[in-house]
Amino acid sequence: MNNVQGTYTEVSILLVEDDDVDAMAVERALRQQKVINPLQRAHDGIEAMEILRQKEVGRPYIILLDINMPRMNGLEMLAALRADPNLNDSVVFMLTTSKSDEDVTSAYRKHVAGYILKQELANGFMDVVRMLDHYWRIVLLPN
Amino acid sequence: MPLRRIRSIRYKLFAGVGLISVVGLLVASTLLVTYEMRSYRSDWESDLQTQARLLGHTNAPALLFHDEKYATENLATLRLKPLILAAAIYDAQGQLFAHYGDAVLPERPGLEVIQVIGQQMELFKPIVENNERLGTIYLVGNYEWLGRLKNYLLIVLLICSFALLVSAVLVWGLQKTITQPVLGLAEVARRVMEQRNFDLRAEKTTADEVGYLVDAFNDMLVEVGQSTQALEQSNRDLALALTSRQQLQQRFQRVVESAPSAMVMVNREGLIEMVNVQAERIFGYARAELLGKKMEILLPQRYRAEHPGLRTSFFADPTPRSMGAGRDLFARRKDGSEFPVEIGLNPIEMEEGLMVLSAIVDISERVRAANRLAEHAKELERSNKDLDTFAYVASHDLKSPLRGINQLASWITEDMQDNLPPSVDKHLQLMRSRITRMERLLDDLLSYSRVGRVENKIGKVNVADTVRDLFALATPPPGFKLVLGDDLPVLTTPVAPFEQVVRNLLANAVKHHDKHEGTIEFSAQYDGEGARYLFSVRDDGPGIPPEFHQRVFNMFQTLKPRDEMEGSGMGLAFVKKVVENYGGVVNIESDGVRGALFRFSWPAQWDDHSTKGAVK
Repeated sequence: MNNVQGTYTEVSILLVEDDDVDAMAVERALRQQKVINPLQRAHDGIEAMEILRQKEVGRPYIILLDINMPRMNGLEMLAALRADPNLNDSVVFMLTTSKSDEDVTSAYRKHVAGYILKQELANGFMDVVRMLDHYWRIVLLPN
Repeated sequence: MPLRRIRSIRYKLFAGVGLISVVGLLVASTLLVTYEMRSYRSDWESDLQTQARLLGHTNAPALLFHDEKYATENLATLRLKPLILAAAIYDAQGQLFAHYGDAVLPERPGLEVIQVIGQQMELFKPIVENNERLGTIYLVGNYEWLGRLKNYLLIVLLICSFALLVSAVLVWGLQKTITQPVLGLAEVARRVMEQRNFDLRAEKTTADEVGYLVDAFNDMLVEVGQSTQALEQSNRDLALALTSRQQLQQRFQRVVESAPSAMVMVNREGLIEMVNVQAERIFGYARAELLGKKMEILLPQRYRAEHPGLRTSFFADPTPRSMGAGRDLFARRKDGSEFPVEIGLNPIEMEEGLMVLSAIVDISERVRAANRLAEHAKELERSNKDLDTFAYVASHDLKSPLRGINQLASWITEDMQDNLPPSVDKHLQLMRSRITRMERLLDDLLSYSRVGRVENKIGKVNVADTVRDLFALATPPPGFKLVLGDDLPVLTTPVAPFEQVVRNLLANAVKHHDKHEGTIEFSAQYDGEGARYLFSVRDDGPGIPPEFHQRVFNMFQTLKPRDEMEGSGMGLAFVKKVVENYGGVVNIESDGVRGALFRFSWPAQWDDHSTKGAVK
């Protein structure tokens, strides 16, 4: 967290992921990259929507969203998010193992900022964290 | 009988001529005889008158002088005239004065008269001298008129007979010239009629009207013969046509009877005219229960009202057609049960008029089979979906824990850094390599299961460029080179599957090569008959022994342990599945000593119909 600008507000991360190892991998990558932005974890879509509606995540925030999850999967949650007038400006990156065209298309139709395949990441989630660190420095997010 | 009438010409002629002669002769004879008899009588009368006057004259003196003796002698001279039978002289007072002959004499003289009594003619004549009546003379003559008449009649008879004879001869002659040709004609006509032989001809013997008649008759015979022949021919033709028509009808009935499907022939009024044994069988009616009945009894109640209208429209445009195409059609059995049918309608021109012959096929079994098939297809689709789901599960749900394990292993390595005992470090490395292998296995399994279920984009593939790129992607060691054949085509084809096949074959050739240097040849050959290209990938690697040629195309088959040669064993199985999915074949040629040649065929043209069934 070097080079903080005056107007810079800390960006929160909401990680929606049912797999503990993947969640650990993200945390580990953040730690290794010395990114100390607040991280919230939800295990499925329903929990994530609750957290968002309770405003437990400080704005601005970005969401890292898995697709295959119990109860409410990532695409269903995305639909709920876009249908919610308070939350439909959320910036979402899909972080999933699903290569299926339908999933990719359907995610972008719901205006995700990016679609990242977990298995293509050579260095664990290090590249994702590095990308995000650059992303929120450059991109102005909704407040 | 016309014959008798014709023959009677001769008799008519004969009788006519005879009658004419006899009648003529009779008339002539009667006139002659009458004339003769009259002249005979008048001769007699004048003879008697003369005799009487003569006797009166000679006996006048005797009367004057009453000389009876002289008178008697004078009368006696009548002996010279034997035809005078008797004579008498009466005096002025009417007393018998003298007489001659034996005949009984009248007492008193009658009036002056001449009369015939029986065969005698008698005469009273006054004897007048110087205007003084002296007496009366009486004469009786033998007037034999009957004998004379008899003689005349005999003569007439003879003449008539002779005339008849002559006329018979004449008629005979006439007949020769007139009757004979006519009778000959009649005879020929009779034979013609009896023998039905129109080749017979009447002989022409005269040049007269009969001759003309004969000519005309012969001409007519020719005409009649020809027209009879024509008539007989046409009769024969007609009979033949009739029999062939009957045969046709019989044959038609036999064909209908032996047809494997039920057949019902219906007339314009919708009445059943003919059924076969199959129709009896599938409808459950006996033939007698169907013939002449309304065919609507074979329909379910709900179709009966509209059917006559449909039939009318069929007869308005009678062309063969199948009925109820595209909709379920049902027929009704005698017991009221219904069954699905397929019906072909054919108009048939019968002698009784236009009919419609319907062939009815009971398709219950087919419908059941189709339903079963549809069920199976649905089941198959479901099981394919299950497989799809399984593949997805395999790729995701099996892979994510695997990736988790991988990460955990790498974290242990990271966290322990140099504090890890060498054996543990080695085991961790082995673990991670197994994990990678398993991930690849799952990936390949997923793409294998997707062959044929994923719609692939059609695009232009420049085979030469594609092969060159894919060869580079296979990361061959520096000593490897690619040799491309001439005339590699540019294909319009589903791009991804083609590339997958080529990539796998090239990767296979590179990966399994046992030397540092190698040559891989890629060539193509057009097979015009199958409209396909035959592509060959030839390497100079270790080859594959023939006994393994089939095995390498099976799933998860490798010829070397995976620790020695990393591979899922899915590559060639994948190639085979893709190629076969596009209707091609793949095979290997290799002696297992050096080199292998893989060949696969690929459609040269792409049109949606050719592989629509194969690619969903």
